[in-house]
Amino acid sequence: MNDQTPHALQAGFAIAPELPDILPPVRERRGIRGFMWRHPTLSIGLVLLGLMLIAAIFAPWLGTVDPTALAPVKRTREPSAEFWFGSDAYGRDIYSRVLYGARVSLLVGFSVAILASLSGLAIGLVSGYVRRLDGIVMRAMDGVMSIPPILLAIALMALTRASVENVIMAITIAEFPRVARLVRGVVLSLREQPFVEAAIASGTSTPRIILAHILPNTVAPLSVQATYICGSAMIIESILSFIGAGTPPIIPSWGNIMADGRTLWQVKPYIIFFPAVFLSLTVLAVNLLGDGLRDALDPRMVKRQ
Amino acid sequence: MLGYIVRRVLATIPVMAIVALFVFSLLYIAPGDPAVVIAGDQASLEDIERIRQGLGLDRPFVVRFAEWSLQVARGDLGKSMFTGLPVTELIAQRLEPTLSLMVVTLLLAIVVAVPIGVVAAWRAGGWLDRGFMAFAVAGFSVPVFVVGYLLAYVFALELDWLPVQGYTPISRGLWPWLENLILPAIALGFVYIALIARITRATMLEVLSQDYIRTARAKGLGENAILFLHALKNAAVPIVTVIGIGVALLIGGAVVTESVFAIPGLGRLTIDAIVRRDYPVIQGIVLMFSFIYVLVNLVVDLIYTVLDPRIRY
Amino acid sequence: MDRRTVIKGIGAAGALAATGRLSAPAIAQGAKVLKFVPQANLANFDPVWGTQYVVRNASQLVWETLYGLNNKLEPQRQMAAGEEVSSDGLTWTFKLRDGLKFHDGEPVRANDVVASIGRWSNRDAMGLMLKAIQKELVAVDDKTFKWVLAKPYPKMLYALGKVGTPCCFIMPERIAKTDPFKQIEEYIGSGPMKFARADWKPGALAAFEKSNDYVPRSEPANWWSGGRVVNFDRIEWVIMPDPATASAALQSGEIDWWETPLTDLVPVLKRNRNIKVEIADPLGNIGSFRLNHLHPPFNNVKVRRAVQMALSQEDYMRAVVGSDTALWSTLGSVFTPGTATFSDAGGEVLTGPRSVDGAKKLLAEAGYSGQPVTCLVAQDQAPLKAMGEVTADLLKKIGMTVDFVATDWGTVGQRRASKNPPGQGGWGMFHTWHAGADAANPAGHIACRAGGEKGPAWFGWPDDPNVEKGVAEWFDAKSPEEEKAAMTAVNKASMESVTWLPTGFYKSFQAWRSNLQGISDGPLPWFWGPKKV
Repeated sequence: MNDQTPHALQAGFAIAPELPDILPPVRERRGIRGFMWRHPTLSIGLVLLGLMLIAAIFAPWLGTVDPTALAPVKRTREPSAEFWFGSDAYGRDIYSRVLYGARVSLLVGFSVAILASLSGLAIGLVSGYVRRLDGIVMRAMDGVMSIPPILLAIALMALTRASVENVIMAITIAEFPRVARLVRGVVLSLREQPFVEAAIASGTSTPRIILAHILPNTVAPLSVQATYICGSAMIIESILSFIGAGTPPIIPSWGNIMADGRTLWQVKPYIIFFPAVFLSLTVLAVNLLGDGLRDALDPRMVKRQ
Repeated sequence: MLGYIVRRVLATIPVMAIVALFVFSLLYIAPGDPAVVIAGDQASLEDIERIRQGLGLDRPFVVRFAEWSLQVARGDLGKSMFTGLPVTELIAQRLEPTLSLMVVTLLLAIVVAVPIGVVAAWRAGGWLDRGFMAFAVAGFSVPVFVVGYLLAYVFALELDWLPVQGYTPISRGLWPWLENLILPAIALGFVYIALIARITRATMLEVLSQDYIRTARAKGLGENAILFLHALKNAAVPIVTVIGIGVALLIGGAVVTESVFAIPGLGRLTIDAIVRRDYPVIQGIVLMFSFIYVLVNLVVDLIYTVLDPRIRY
Repeated sequence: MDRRTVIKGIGAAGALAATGRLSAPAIAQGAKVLKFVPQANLANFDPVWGTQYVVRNASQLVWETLYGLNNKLEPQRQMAAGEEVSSDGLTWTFKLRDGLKFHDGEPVRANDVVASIGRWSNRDAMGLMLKAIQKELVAVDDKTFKWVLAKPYPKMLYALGKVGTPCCFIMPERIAKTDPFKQIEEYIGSGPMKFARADWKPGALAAFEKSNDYVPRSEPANWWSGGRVVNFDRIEWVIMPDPATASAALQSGEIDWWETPLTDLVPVLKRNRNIKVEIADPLGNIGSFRLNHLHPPFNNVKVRRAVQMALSQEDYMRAVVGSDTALWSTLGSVFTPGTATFSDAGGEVLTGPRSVDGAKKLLAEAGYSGQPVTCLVAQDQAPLKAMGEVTADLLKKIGMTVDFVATDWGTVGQRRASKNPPGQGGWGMFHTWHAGADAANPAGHIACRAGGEKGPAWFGWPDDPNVEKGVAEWFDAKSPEEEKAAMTAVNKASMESVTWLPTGFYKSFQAWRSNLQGISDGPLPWFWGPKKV
């Protein structure tokens, strides 16, 4: 893998190419409508994610009951007026579990995105700036990246007891090397730029250079990457919970609910269906957000406007 | 050229060393005492201490790591804490199903995704393009096991076109082997196809807008010739990159897919091992998969040099 | 012709062109191979070291016992040709029947039997009782051995033929000399099938091949007695931890027999014309909430009684078996209901009205101050996973702290043997179940013993001299009335000191393809009798 490969490639997306100038000039619209018109992907992503956040934060007031309350008498009921999404094998209300589960999945997604970004940023900055450390740090990152992320998360979870914190730590460890590589790539390419060389020559201290010149340029690719990490983390958490190595069964998370429902999917598919739809929509939202951000922040597209 | 190959191969050694260190550390800091497990419930404290010394568990980290590394180099990955069987034997038993699944998925993904990406790029902006790309984004968002259950429900249970679960070794015939792998390969490959399609489209778009394509068009070459001869060849590098990176996706997804479709492969072994905290097995699998991943990326890098003579390090 | 076959045909034609081979041999294989999905993974294969039911069920294919129970729970001769007891009841002389051969070609000799009994009696409750009163156990000649006791032991044949684990399987002398607390490494027996060691993939597959040297008895088969004629060349145990996959596989014919179909999936299976579903064992099962008496909080009888007061067997049973009340009932006893000597005296504490508030008060009285209860819950066995969920809810409801350890049955099996405190690899409670055949009386029901840490007692090590007194009375009982009186005493004491908590009595199903005939019910799956038509 080439160091110069845009890191976005490693996530599977390339910077969008220039579209030919055959489109008629678009009338600029103002305000929110205009924003949504110009950035459809970004808007859809934001709206969807917003809805999920509302569901998660306001779960207790959205018609839910205690998500862990057992009532085996009412087990495996189809969706009805009493159980909007049906009840699971122990009589728990799936609607409530899904809404509270949103908290776990979103918490894991956001936490991992933030933690991985911050740690990756720190390491990438150090590695990109301090030549002596660059070689060994990047080798270490390569090493960690050589272990398939899910296997790494699984192995780390095997060391500890199941808890949401440990899941966040395990997935963060699996994801941060990518961020480190990205940031390092940005730092390396920036260091060659004339304005940075000028700053160094004029005696600007290193921290100032980093703060004033380098950091601002990492924000764009970093935020795009962070959204992808968020989506990836949510899926990894669901896979971990599904195989029994993720969040403890006592705390409802979308992965857990699906794991519980897997034995009955032939007869009661709704147990897997509802959390699956919510998870997919949330990850979709985050992916669209990432795509939209990337398009919005792409210097080539910005230039066009 | 040869020098580059040699240097590239040598570069994998420090990476593998770091992986090995990491994997070994896992066992070192793992809770639970293997000596206790081996000694059994009725052993006395002296017995346990004797076993610890016998196993060499009381020596310093560096010594144990060196010994373990030599052991691994000789091909001995230790014994499963749970069944007492050698880890290499357990892995060898499960290798064929997992490798079969990964190879079939890889081929399926490339065969399906590259044409999708090419067509999407060719008809950029049209409804076909938008449709494909929407499908691609959706592909990223749905977890592997959900796709798996959906496929199994529709094609195996309802329509009865394909078997629901299991694995048939290739020695029993090509079609039975393939039959069992089709649905799992599609489930596993879903994300992979989305990934490859998107990157193919993006790089093809990039390439198609380049000057030399305009020249080829001006020269009067047919569209097909342009697409395949020039564009694809130049787009090949990023595509191959993604294929290499995506192998990590495959390995991770195989764990879940094998669980859904009851394929007796390494994925199932991993899940059993992690539930039981069978560290030697977890170690062995992580090591092996990392090795495969590093190998694949090595091959990918070497293919670069064939595809794009401009790339030199 | 269904679609699968059409597609198969097209595929086969393609494969023929591709490989020049027909898939036909696979179809011919089918009739002589039985594909069975067992209740759990066969992670180890030593029936004396590991007392899990799944190990015993597999072991009965490879090894035999001297006696075997019939469907009336009466021991019948299996490897034994005959037995003689001296008039004072102290000397037992056994003779082996002809034609017994181990899979390595060696004949079964009395030395092998003596060594096997020796190993088994170190692990089994009845074996330990016999060992305690044993004066001499020796081979007289190749086919005869003698067991001299210091006291009469009327239940001798039952001990040698019971289905309760560990069973007295007969192994070659060299293997039987393995330390009873270590696993054997060779799997050579004298039974109707050989263990295909090379094919064993723990977690995925275990296979057994027909032994052509085996000479079955002439009587008709009846549970563990009679002639064991296996109508298959090969039996494959396909491990499927996911019930949904097993259900789908049974419906499509990829497997022939499923030992433990999930009750929720049974309606789907019943609707399928190619599948038969029946109650597996008329003697049913007793769910178990096993408490650890060695460490806090359950070393305090008040805490145990608090849980007992609030525990709702209805919740447990519904979670395990579903809403069909024909399949389960509450049970105020540690013994199997429906037998002549059954007693549920003292069981109202468990089956009467529940009281969560009473439990909370009792906990406060007991001085419970939040010590976590380490719950070992096996996720790969549906009944245990279900019970675990109910327990977590129950303990939280009465105000206890739960340390929920979700793991697999194999690990539970290992960890429950630890006498350490919960924080150091020990445990507070775990779930299991007991087969009705084992729990019918104190003989095979080690779980009801309360000999404390020194034994005899099962994991949890309850200590109640009243229970032990009742058990001793049962062993000395000379009539069914005396047996029943003894069992009443045992149950009363068990309920009072809460040795363990039965979570209810339930029956489960087994399911098989209708082209498989000869499947009968029983406490374990019988592999002699079924054949494919």
